[in-house]
Amino acid sequence: MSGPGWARWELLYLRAREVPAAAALLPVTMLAVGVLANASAGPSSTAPAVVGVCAALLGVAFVGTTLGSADAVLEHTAAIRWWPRRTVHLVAGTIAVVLLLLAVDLAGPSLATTAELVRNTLGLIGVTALCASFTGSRLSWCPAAAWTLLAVVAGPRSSGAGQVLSWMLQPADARTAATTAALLAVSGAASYILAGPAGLRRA
Amino acid sequence: MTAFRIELRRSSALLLAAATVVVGALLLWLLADEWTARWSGLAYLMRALLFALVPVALAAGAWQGGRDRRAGVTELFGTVARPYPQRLLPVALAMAAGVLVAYAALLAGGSVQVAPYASYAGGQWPVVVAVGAVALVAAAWLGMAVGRWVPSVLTPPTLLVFSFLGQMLSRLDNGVLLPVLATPSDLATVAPEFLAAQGVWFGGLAAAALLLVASATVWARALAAAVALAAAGVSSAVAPATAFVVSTDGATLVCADGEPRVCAPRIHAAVLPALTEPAREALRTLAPIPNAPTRVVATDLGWAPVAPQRTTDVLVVDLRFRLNATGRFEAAPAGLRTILLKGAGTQSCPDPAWGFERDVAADQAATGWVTGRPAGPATDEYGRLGERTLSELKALPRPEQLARLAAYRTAKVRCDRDPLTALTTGAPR
Repeated sequence: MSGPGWARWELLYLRAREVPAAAALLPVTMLAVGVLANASAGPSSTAPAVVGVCAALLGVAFVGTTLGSADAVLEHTAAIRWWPRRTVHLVAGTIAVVLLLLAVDLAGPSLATTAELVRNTLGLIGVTALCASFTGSRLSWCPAAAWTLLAVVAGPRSSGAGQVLSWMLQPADARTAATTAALLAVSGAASYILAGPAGLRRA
Repeated sequence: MTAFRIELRRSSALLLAAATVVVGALLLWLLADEWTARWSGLAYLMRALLFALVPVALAAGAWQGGRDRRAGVTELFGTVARPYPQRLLPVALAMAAGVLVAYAALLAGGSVQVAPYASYAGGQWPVVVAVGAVALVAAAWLGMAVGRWVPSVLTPPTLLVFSFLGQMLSRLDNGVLLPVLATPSDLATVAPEFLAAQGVWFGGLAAAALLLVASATVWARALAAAVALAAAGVSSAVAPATAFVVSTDGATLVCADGEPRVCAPRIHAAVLPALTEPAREALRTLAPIPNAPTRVVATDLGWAPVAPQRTTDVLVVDLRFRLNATGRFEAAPAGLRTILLKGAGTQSCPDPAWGFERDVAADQAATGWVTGRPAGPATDEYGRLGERTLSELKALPRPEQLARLAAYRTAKVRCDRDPLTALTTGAPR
């Protein structure tokens, strides 16, 4: 396909999901996180890893709000192959978040290793996509946010269950944490791509 | 009242309450080591929960505040023959009720781990929690105001992340304007003036946020800003410089019956039954040394204002990291004896000029002499040094051994001299 028809479909898809607002505001908020972290950088400041996790959460939350449209039930009735589109949407959103995180990491204070940033983004987007496929997209970021708040306030743990619980704060070579993030990412992506966003009601 | 009941179901109050209970309960459980068996411990943990609960309340408030405009029903609701503030008040009250009930439920759940074990009920802990509750209500209403102003779906996550980061990155340690209040010690209590200043600030902030939520005019918004600024100014002005003072009630020593005396702060009186017998046994073991301690005091050595005077008369037991969920010692009696006899009943010197290594070696030798066991793991340099010192010490006549140990104890108490030299050469002549 080519021509204005193709472009119009794309634009309608993006607008229905309020992607333009999220795409415009995400770099701004990420920049603000970087400035905040830079302003408070110092020997006594919170570990940069926490800033990195919070920045990843913010990006994932923005992507999460775009995972569904105002009327998911109506969209389900359309005779369109949704899964390739949802795949592209999810992958593109994840890549955008990772790139922005890397940009903040390079430009400002070092937040975490690249592997950690990628792992955290993948795991959090997995939780968010899973939630979007069950309860809809608009508040789909809430479980990821709750998990992050819990892990950061309770602090990283070294026991087996503790590593699963605080996976986003573990070092890059922690096998359990990486496995947890991978499982979350795969199950969330599969659930969202195959089932699509749930459409319960408008909030 | 009908409107309030309807709003309880229609608004995000239930969402807010559920999120608060889930996040708070998990945190209480995860941080159980830090608060159990003490009312003040629970109170300060309830304030530490605000690290997470304030962002949640802000986000839920913002979600609620932007709902009508996101759904495009403001014009429809505008046709209701009621002034705007009157329509918004039940919503705000429902949100406040949701967060307050959830916070109270967390307190009730936490008290299950405290009530059976706490040895000290006094103190102002209910006020500490109450100020935290006011802060939560202020956060929920402030979130509503922000959500009404920017009714985007992106507002709640943005508020959540930035308020959380702001708190985490704040360098104001126990600032009067911050919701979280971290205690430096179990024996500390927050200064009443500080608590009052926080009450003024969060009360003023809640009032200003409510004004913002229900405001229909520019003047109302200006008034809200003025109230918030005034509250911040007043509380910053009246707050004392140090938030925490020694708890006169909780830190008072209570002693077990009988002699020699074995004492603990009232807030930790639960340690006494298990401590008394091993402590008296340790005193008997140390008795041959000329300057042996005559009584035992358990305390928190982590906070300078309550640190006991350094004297050879008192054997000090540090309670930090040694208590379990019921407020008793984690260690069995045998382990307690080891703790008591470490370094022949002395504490380490802060920042010794001669280096920690010589301290460790001397401690191992002295501990070995007192307990009759090897000085320590002879696998590293200090272990071998300690072992050598101990065997040299034991080769001396017994009065000289005791004199050396007395010199060592004096050096450890005064922190003016290398304890290893004291152990190998005796008292300075």
